Amino acid sequence: MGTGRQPRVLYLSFYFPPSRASGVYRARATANYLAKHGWDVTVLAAPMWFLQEAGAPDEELAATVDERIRVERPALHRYQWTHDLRSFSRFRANLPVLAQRGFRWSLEHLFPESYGTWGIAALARALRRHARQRFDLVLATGNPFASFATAWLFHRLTGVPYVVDYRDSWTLNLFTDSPAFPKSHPAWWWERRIIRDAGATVFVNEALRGWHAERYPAAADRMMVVPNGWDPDLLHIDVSADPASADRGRPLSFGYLGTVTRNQPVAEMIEAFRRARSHPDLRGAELNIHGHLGFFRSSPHALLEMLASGPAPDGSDPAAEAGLRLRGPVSKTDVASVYEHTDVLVFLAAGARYVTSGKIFEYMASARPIVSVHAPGIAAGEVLAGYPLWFNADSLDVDEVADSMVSAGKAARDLTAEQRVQACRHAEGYTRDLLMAPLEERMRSLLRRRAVRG
Amino acid sequence: MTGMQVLFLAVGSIRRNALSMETAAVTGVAARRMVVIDSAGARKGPKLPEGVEAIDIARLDPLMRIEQLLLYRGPGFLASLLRRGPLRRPVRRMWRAYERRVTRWVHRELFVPLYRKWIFRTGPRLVERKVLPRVSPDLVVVMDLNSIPVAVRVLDRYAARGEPAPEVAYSVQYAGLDLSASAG
Repeated sequence: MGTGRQPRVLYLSFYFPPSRASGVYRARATANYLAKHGWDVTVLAAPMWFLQEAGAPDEELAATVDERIRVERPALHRYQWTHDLRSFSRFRANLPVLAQRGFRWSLEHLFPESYGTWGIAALARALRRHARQRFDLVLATGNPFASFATAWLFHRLTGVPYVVDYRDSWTLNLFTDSPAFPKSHPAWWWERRIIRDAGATVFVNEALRGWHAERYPAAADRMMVVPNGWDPDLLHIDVSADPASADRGRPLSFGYLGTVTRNQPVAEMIEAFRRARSHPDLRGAELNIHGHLGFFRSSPHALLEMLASGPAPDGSDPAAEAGLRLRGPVSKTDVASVYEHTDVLVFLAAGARYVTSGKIFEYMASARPIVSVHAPGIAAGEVLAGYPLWFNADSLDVDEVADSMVSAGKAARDLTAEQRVQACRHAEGYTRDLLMAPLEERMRSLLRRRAVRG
Repeated sequence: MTGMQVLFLAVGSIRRNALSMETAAVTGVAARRMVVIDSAGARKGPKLPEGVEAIDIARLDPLMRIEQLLLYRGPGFLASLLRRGPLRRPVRRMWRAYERRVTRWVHRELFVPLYRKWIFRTGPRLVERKVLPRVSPDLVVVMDLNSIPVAVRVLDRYAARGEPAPEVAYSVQYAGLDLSASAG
């Protein structure tokens, strides 16, 4: 790094605003934080056609990206995403079997992910930019993990150090707590090299860090945890709005925000809520589900069908009788309003040991009682420990979960200003800016180490 | 039922169960259901529902005709001449042995590999020349990878004429049809 000039970082983040992917907030916060702290940031992100096919891009979110950040969009081969025959190349249209075999071969022998071509294009773009003006550091976030491979290849070709940020897990299946791939899978080959050569490897919780440290002990001292956190600039919640304690007569409003998936203990949540409603304090309470039913169409799950189906032809509505309301997805701009109108937040999560869930940070920022519905020993416990309004049965036993729902309901009724202040104080410890500081410090130390080596 | 014509392209002949279900699913919707298959080297599968027209491109293929001539029609003609004389019984036994040991082996070992090699396949062109003039589908359902070149030919043909092309789908489920009327 030359003296006096800004350090230049190449940030490989496939999902970046205006993407609507869930991981985009961490990427946005990271880039903004680095720009704010004196880094010259170049982001390589997904092509716009990809974001448009995934849904309308979120231009409002894009407007919150620091204007000093340069965003470029390397190409991604459309093979996996093109279904219209009219758009097929001549090769694919005439020799579809050969094209398919070639694609599968690339997954098995080059890089085990459909985004591999984006990684190659990103590498070419990075090398061109580096030739003009040197990058001092590369930061890559996954998924997709093609960004990690790109960072590693760039490092091998140029010697520029890199940091990988495991926003998501690659080789660990979070829902089964077991390896995601068989032993001979090429993902292991890549991960081994990527972690071995990384200047730092970042995880979202201690459990994930520990799992990887056990597998790659030689790199364990270069591993660190940067939890997800929440974004005060995106979430303006009036924590004092319409508390249930102000109107003791009205029924309580429980809420869940997020996608309902096959892996979550939905049945336990619904049954526990049904039982909890029989308690006088929860009479007439509603459980509002704000989000998509991610697997509704293919799911044989009767309870999820009940959630989505609405009233039956005979006029009965089992979901409404159980106090369940499917409210559908909420735009980011309306999220704060949902929090304000919810008395108790339900933390419904799949998996256990390695799952934190980005949603929990926003939940805490709302200063509402949070009731846990997940397997015991979840990694999110690290974050929730110390939050004064956390109600955790530490079990998926329906009666125990129902009891904690009742306790959370009572807490919502009796919520004091002092408790809210304490809850806010706890949440303030998880703002993105605060959590990003150690990562930025680590990045700077890599630059210093490189400068000393010459 | 409408006057709709649905053309199923199942040249790969690898999804016979799916083909059977898909053709059945549009029973109440389509007036005409046609399936383009390729019987050369195809595995056995469930039969198509009644009323489905099967068009076998193997039978339109010159290679198949050559095979028929060399293995069946030529030797068959010779055998029929010999059967008229005193060698009737031995000729009949020899013909059965020939069918069992020679024709099956030659078909399996020589012709099937040829059929399977794309360089010898003329399926898309055959469909274009011999099938498309007979049909005017409103919906084309592409059942497998091998059918893609055929589907592209169908679309190209309409584009060349400047006519609106039929809908193309990978399953009748995604074709936006109201299948509730189907007997299914």
